[in-house]
Amino acid sequence: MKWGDARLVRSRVIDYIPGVRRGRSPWVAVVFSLHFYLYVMILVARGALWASLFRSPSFGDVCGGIAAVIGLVFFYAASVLPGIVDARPSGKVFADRARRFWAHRSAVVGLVVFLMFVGASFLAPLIAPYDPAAQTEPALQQYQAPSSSHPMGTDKFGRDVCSRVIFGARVSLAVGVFAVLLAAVVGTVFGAFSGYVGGRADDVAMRVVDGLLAFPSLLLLLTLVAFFANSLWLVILVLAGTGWMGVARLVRADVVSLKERDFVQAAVASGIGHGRIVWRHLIPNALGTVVVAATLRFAVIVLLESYLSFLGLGVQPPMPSWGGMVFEGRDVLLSAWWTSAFPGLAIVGAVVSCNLLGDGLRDAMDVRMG
Amino acid sequence: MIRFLLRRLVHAGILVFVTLTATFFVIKLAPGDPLSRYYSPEINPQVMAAVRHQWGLDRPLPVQYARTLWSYLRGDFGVSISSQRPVSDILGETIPRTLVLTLSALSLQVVIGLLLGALSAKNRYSVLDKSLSFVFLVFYSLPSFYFAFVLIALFSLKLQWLPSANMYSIPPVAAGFFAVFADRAAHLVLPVTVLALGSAAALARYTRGSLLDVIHQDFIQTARAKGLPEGRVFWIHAMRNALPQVVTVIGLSVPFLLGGAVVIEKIFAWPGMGALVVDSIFARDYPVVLAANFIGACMVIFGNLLADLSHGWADPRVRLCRRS
Amino acid sequence: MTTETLLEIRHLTCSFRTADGLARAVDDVSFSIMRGETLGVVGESGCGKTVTALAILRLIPDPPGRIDGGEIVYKGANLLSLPEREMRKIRGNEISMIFQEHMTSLNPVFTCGYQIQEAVVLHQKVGKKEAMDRTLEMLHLVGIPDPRTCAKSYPHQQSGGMRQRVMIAMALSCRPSLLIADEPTTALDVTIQAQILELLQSLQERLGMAVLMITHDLGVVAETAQRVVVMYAGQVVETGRVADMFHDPRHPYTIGLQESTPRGSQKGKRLKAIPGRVPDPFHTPSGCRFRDRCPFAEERCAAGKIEMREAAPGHMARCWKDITLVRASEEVES
Repeated sequence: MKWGDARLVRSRVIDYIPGVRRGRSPWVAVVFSLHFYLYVMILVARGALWASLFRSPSFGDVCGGIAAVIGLVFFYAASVLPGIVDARPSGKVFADRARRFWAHRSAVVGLVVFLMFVGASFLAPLIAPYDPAAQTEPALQQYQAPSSSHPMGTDKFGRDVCSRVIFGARVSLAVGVFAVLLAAVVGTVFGAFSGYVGGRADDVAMRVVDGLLAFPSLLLLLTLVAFFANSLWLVILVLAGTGWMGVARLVRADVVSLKERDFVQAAVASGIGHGRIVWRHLIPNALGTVVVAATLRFAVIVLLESYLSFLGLGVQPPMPSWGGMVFEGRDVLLSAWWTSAFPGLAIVGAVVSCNLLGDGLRDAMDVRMG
Repeated sequence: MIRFLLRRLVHAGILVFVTLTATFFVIKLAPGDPLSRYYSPEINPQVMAAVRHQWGLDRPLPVQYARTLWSYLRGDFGVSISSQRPVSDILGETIPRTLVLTLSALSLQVVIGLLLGALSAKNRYSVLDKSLSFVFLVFYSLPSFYFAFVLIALFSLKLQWLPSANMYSIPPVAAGFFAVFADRAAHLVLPVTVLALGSAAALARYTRGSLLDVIHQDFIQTARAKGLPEGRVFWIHAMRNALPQVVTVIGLSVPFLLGGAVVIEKIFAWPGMGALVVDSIFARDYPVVLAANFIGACMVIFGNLLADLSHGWADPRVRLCRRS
Repeated sequence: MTTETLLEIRHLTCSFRTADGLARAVDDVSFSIMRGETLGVVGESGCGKTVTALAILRLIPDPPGRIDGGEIVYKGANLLSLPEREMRKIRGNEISMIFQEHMTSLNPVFTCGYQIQEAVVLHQKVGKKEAMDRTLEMLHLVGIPDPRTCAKSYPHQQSGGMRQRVMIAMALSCRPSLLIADEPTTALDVTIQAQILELLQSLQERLGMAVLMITHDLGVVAETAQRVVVMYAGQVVETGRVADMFHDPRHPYTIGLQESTPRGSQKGKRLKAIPGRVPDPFHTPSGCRFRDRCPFAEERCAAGKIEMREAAPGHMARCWKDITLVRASEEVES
């Protein structure tokens, strides 16, 4: 992002945020600092990714880096400029959606908190006070209550809980972002083509989707992950596999209603190939729905991942994961409550903020999720 | 009606068949030998071969598959590797225990969810609605194991009010009826609360949305114009219209009756089907895993059917169209 | 038709608060309905006729709507200040309303018979059996061929005309003295329209009730009403007898309405439309609200508040000019 881009973006954003012109809205300060923060974050994320590629990257580093960049850009584009996903942007639609989103206090709070988690996830090496895997002599540091040197206390092995929570964000968010992206892509393509083709194939496809949707995913997850390799990529794959159906159904509904519109008929009449129509015309219009579905799905995936790591699947020690940390603290629930409490709160915080964000986006873009 | 049921049965059959096949091949194709956990490396290879033969594991894969299918058709789910007991026996023991838990949770969930969702919709925009909506969101986003830990820490460890493990502390024959009943009930409280509140929040959110949609429809204005009291307009005219969708959602949560309590059962040491499944998965006890997934698929079908039927019962528009 | 006033609306004002501002939907509206007469309320969409009707029964959703002021006097009492409990006794019982959308105005999950019976049980305090008898009687009265089957059926199983009849039966089941009909025939086919209008007229004669017929169709008014109220942009602009209204309109808007209605006698001639658009409800202009579209407008029309003036006995118009004179002079000139 060059400086020229920044100025263009900034001027567009100013036009569409309510109250900015009049300069009286108290949200202006919040909004502007948010934009500034995001802008800086994206720059830093790019830099961090470059830097990590030149060191010998651990899985966590690369994962966190890529996920953070993708996640930030994705959510920035989706939340701050909701109108951008409309293929035929008209100023009024832009402004309406943006205004509706920013008028939702809870949605903005959700966005802010969620971005804090995202920021923490890749700034982890920088902001975590200690090395999350650093064990000290157990006798000395074990189960220390929260204090000024360890704001969230230490766990059984003397590791700092706060650092572990921050690094745990990496895993949860990385898994979430990748799984959601995969689910969104697969679901969108599947749903768009199914809706466009219509007829018998569409019927069959939707029946398959409905059948898959009703499945209790946890059992399936467990079976698959436990029986095959206990790797994070499998977890991501499986979680994406449980999520794409919802997206597919919603996109298909959108495409079916869009198909009848004039601009599609015009495109067909001028001889544009079907694939191109779907790709260039239909999918961009359905992106609003996809964004909302993806955000809400993200929350569910983070939740599911915590269940998996609670049961010991997916993330392997010593890499910290919120669910696993809660599990580790089960024996000392009362005596060393901080060991389970803080990771659990992190899970709740991430999922709640994501849900708030998704709800706000849904209201702003007026998407019917029925 | 008959045609509808027949069609659904055919779909059901296909779904079950597909599930069974998929699970079977996932398990069989997974790396590792299912029997590897049960013997030490020094065992006599001939004994090993004999055991394999007994279990039918030396046959080619398609044959194993066919045999499994055939035995399932006959209702025979095989024998558990880890406990050497027929799987149907094990299931027969554990399923009722899980059902006690999940049915209580389901009833509680429905009552709380519907009531709170309706209250929230009725007093829209009020402080009550906003705080309730936030509460719903928090409980909906709460991982059940965390909620369970919090409750255990508070009620079981700190206050010592309620037990946190197993189904009972007093053996059935040891004490009088009331004491036994109270003991069982006490053991139920915590796990049921955890299960019910999380899903009640989801149901409440859904009910609220559904009711808000209904409230804006024209016939509500007609009902008011007739002079009906506001209470009747809301609880009878509006609720009754939101019922079809709500009932469908409840029907769709039937599959979770058996599978949804997995984590809870592990935490509270409740010897039900969820715990059984998790243990068998980790123990690679594949006959049990296969049977559990099969039962799960059946529950899904049953739940869908129930959801459809109850939707038809609740919404006359759907019901009559189908018959014609 | 007697000359006894059944319901009188005095200076009614209602507004709606929306994201775009405060909209005055009804501004200082006054008119009265006589016992047993049919009063037509005419105007284009958005002129406030439906809001006025809803205000009579206090059905305006609050938020975002609000009754700012005025009185609605019925049987000596001001309906706007009545406690809700009392108001409920009037709704459906003494004053009933039927709506435009027959498809969505009946509850889809209850049978037609149940919905009618409900009102009877509530207001007349009779048992279910007797209520059902009355229901069947009403269904027969509104011209439904097989009342018993209809009562057991659901709204979606009936045609549009039948549904409207069911609504009429529901509204009249407690023998109200005033029926408010909000565009009852707009959503129906033309042939059914005529049937429903005829039905309403015969029922009115039989039951001796007054009808407030809200419509945008002058033809309906001409056929059914004895007196007319013309509304524009939230205000009453003309009231009077139907005959006077059609032969001697006193407000330019009424003239415009009549001239823009296609008539067989005008075949081959160009349709005359009223130029311009309805004023923005959030920024109502000062003076006469019709002046931007009025062919007779002058500077005087832009200032102050234009009051209703009695142009002829029983014939009021919100215009200070004597239009007939102006038109006569124009005809002489041309």
